Amino acid sequence: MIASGIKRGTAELAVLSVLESGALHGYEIARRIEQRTKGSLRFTLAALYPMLYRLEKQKWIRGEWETSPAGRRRRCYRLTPAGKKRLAPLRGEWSELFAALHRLAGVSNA
Amino acid sequence: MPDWQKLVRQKLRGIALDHDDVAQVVEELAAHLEEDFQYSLAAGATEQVATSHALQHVRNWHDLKSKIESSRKQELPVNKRVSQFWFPAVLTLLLTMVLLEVVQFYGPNPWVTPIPGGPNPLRMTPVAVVYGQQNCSCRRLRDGHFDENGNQSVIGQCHGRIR
Repeated sequence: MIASGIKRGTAELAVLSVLESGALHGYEIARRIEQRTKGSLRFTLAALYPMLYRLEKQKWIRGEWETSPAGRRRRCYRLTPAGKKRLAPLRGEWSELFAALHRLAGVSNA
Repeated sequence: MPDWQKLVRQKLRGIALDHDDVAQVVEELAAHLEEDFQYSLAAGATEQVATSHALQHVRNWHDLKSKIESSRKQELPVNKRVSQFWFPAVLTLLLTMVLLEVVQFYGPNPWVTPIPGGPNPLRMTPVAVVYGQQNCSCRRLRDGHFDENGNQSVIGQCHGRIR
């Protein structure tokens, strides 16, 4: 597991990245991140929702209530054009950081 | 199965958001807990274990409440005020600067005069500026209007007479 201090910095990138492929509700976002990182990144409800609300306030994601075929109401989040625009430089910044860490301490992003 | 909405509403009691906002947050968090609960049940956990697993998501409800408050609240009032008033404020400042220049260029020029029988006007420190049209009168300044050298002075634009 990654320490919470490091994880906090990556959370924004993680959420925006999983929403790039389509709209998801909160629980799905948490599950998708956990699956794609093979359990290295896990978001509890307490960590996820304040961040989702903050990203929504920044207009990088948009939440809308939807009803599933089973009749369950879920708030689904999708990436906004501003969020897509934000994602590219964010990826660049992280790649740069990994490259710097690789040069410094042999940390690889592969 | 626990009533997740009731539980979340109880835990978030007193949250500083408007009623609709609270209802949405409660519904959303309850849905998340319920999904987690159902997932654990599907994975073979007992109802008790599934409930406790779902509840492990939030160790500190008070902390979550304040995080949700700050992340859902709109801009702080001071920011809103700044965004509403910065343009009128800058415009007023610019107009004031322009008007000051105009007044200094075209406006009345102060008339400096010594008190009759007073000291050398070149050594005087102005203590008052008086603008006037016709028949204005400048009273002799009384106690407390002397400069540090003990000089007394009046500056005014008077077309009338000084008493």
